[in-house]
Amino acid sequence: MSLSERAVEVIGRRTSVEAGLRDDPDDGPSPGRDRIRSNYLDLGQILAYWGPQRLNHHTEATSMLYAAHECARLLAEEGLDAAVARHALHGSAMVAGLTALGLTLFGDQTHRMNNVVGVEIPAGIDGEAARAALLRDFAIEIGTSFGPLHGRIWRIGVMGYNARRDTVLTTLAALEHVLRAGGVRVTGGAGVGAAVERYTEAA
Amino acid sequence: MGPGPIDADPRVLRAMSASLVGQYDPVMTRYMTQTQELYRTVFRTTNDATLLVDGTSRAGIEAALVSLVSPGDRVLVPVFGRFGHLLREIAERAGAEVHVIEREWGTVFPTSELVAALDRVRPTLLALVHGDTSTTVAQPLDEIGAVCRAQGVLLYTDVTASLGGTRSRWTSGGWTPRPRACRNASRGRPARRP
Ligand SMILES: Cc1ncc(COP(=O)(O)O)c(C=O)c1O
Repeated sequence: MSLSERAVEVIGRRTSVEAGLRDDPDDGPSPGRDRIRSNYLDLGQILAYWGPQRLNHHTEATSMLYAAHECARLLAEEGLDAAVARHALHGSAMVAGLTALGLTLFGDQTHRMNNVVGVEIPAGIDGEAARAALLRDFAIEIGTSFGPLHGRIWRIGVMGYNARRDTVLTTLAALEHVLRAGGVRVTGGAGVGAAVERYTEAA
Repeated sequence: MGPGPIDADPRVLRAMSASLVGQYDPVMTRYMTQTQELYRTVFRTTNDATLLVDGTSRAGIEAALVSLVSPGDRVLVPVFGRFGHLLREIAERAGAEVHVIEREWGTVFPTSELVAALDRVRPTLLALVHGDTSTTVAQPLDEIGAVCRAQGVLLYTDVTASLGGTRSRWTSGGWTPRPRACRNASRGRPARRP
């Protein structure tokens, strides 16, 4: 996460140093001070750990830090603009394919996220059974949904390492098969074809 | 091809299998410094306070809200999907006086509605999801940072699922979290991306 100077200032007024680490007894919590209620999530203490002081706080979740470091390196190497453009491209290919399969997209499409596509479950299809078939027959997982949308839409991620041409095309081919098996009339190859067209257009 | 967790880049999986070193080993402290600099690039920020909170995304959200919000503070939470409800719940648990505005799932707020609510509520903090994976739409953030800064309101925005994947611009002075370590290079990077 990233915090502005203003946010750091607010936190600084509320944080305190743990007993056993204090150089100055006044660094402890004082009755007048509005103490941050969590220890693990006290950003003041976390800042002191990440700052030049390197004041001890949690014992590091080392592998997670390695992972976070590598994730950021991947993104920085690719470039943020290029990463967003990659998600826009593969997201739009998924959208073109789903539409060509006769499915209806969910949500305000002018504000659609690039990296996850909501699509209505067509009439006559049991959304969970279709997800199970995709997983069993093709080893492809797509997302269910929550609350008011549960049973109404699937959420298909085109995210990160999965935002690729091969994953998009394979998912569309598999979904076509599962829809047909469920009794939906689909034109053979329509989804993959429309996605390929989108890629050709963008090339 | 779900909305997370998803396949991680093999480079990330390899990094996670490296031997552990002590947290004050110079190798590790250098790694931390590099990680901060890398995330400044990812967040496109010069904020010195750029760091990791260990845990999944909601650890980052909870750290931000419990550290920034004092009991009784007014917090405005616009809700247009599940993760707006999460921000609301966490702000409530932090003792805030939470004011919610809601929109039908699948839509986003016009900036004018956010500004009107800021004027009405006069909150200490605005907590706003960017890309809400539950509805697959993203709230435009382009202007809201400047409005918050002009009014002295802190802005917390959840970019768990959109960082590196869906464009947003925020002005410095507004601030942005990106918690989590590991989904993948784009979804917040360490996420998601996120
Ligand atoms: C936008 C957003 N915020 C918050 C979260 C919460 O993440 P977690 O449950 O992994 O802590 C998610 C999870 O998908 C998310 O998509």
